[in-house]
Amino acid sequence: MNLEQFKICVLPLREKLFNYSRKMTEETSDAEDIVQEAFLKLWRIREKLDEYHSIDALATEIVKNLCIDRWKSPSRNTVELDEIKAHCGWDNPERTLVENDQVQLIGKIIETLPPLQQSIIRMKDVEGYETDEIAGITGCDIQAVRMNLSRARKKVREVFLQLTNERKEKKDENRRFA
Amino acid sequence: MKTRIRFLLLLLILAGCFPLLCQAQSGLRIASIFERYGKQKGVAMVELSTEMLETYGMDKYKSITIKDAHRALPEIRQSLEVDKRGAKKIKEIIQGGQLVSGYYQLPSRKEDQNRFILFKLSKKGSATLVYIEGELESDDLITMLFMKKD
Amino acid sequence: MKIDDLLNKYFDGETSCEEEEWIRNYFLNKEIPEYLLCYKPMFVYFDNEIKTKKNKKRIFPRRKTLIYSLSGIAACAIIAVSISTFFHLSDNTSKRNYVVINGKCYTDEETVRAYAKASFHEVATSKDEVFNELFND
Repeated sequence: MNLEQFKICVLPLREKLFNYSRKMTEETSDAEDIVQEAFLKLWRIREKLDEYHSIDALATEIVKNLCIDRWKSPSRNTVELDEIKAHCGWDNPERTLVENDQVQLIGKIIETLPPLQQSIIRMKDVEGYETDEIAGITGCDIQAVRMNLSRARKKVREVFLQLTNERKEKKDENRRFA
Repeated sequence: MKTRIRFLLLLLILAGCFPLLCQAQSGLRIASIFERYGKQKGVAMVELSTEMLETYGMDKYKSITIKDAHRALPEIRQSLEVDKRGAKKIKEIIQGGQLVSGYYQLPSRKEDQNRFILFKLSKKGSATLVYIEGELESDDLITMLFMKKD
Repeated sequence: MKIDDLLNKYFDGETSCEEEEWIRNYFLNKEIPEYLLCYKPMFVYFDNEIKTKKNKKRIFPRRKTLIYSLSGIAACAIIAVSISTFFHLSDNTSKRNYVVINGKCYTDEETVRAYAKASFHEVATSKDEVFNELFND
């Protein structure tokens, strides 16, 4: 199934899905993110869509599950940062992070991003989709995709720098008192 | 030409080697169900590998359907009791105190790899056990299961 | 400097895939000034992910070539011969796509796929079925 066929098949459901999502979330922006994420999920299984009774029902089910996931997951910031630190041998500040650790750290940080931002950053930076293609799949305008992409990338940069600088400061501090 | 020779060679080795225990289920008790009942009468056992499963995000798919399962049931249920320990996600339906349907997401052994066991006892008394390994996420699998055409 | 402009554009989400490739190559192959070193891990990460993806696709290319088809036919012949030799010797089989029905092994794709779909269908359930199972006795 190519993008045009996908658009014909799936995009007409957008308004209905948005309204459904809006009823279950607190913010309009959350509802919009959920609908975009749902469309990206549908895009990933586009070759199997004809195996389902009703794409409408399938899409609704996906949106519902995403809403439920959103209720369940608390604010992701602090908890995941601690997990990231544990994973990368943070407990030993004397150990210099080799490049490989830093690369892995990037991966871990991306996993802490909101699901839509994760999907968009992967589609753009790994799978090589252009922004207008992602906009086509999600049924939103290019600026919205650019904004999400920008937020995601800036967040990764910010957290990465924060963690690596924090570590450097602690190391320097330890040295001073050694 | 080179690819063809390699492919044939690979298959010769696979076919010629002494068969190994199915590695996907190493350490799982349900492996014994596949071993014991897989070649019996009234039983259908399927195994698929990556080539046929790519579009589904799976690397391994193994299933066994036992038509008249009353003899195998205690063993199946016991194996699931053991294998589900430490599971990330469990969904079960119990009727009359006995398990009739189960969905289990096992702890991952590798990064980006999820493992699942599915079980269903039909009203006609046939039992189906499915083992899946792959990149697909739990909610993707649940969606596939829940929305299948009749 | 080109890299500075591109990086700003990148973090604003405005780069094309071609520009992003240029940035990745820059961080992987060029001598990087110290003030930009902190960005390297990010682009190395994406480059690794892209390579991993490409390797996965290469192992099982979707396009069937004549060579693959011929190899497939030859392979099935080899498997068919091996089945009869090994089936009685051991309990386990190392073939990769197969279905065993009433003790007999089949490897043709259509049959295997049909039985796989059927087994998946067995464990799948509809909402009505779940509702009935939960609330009817």
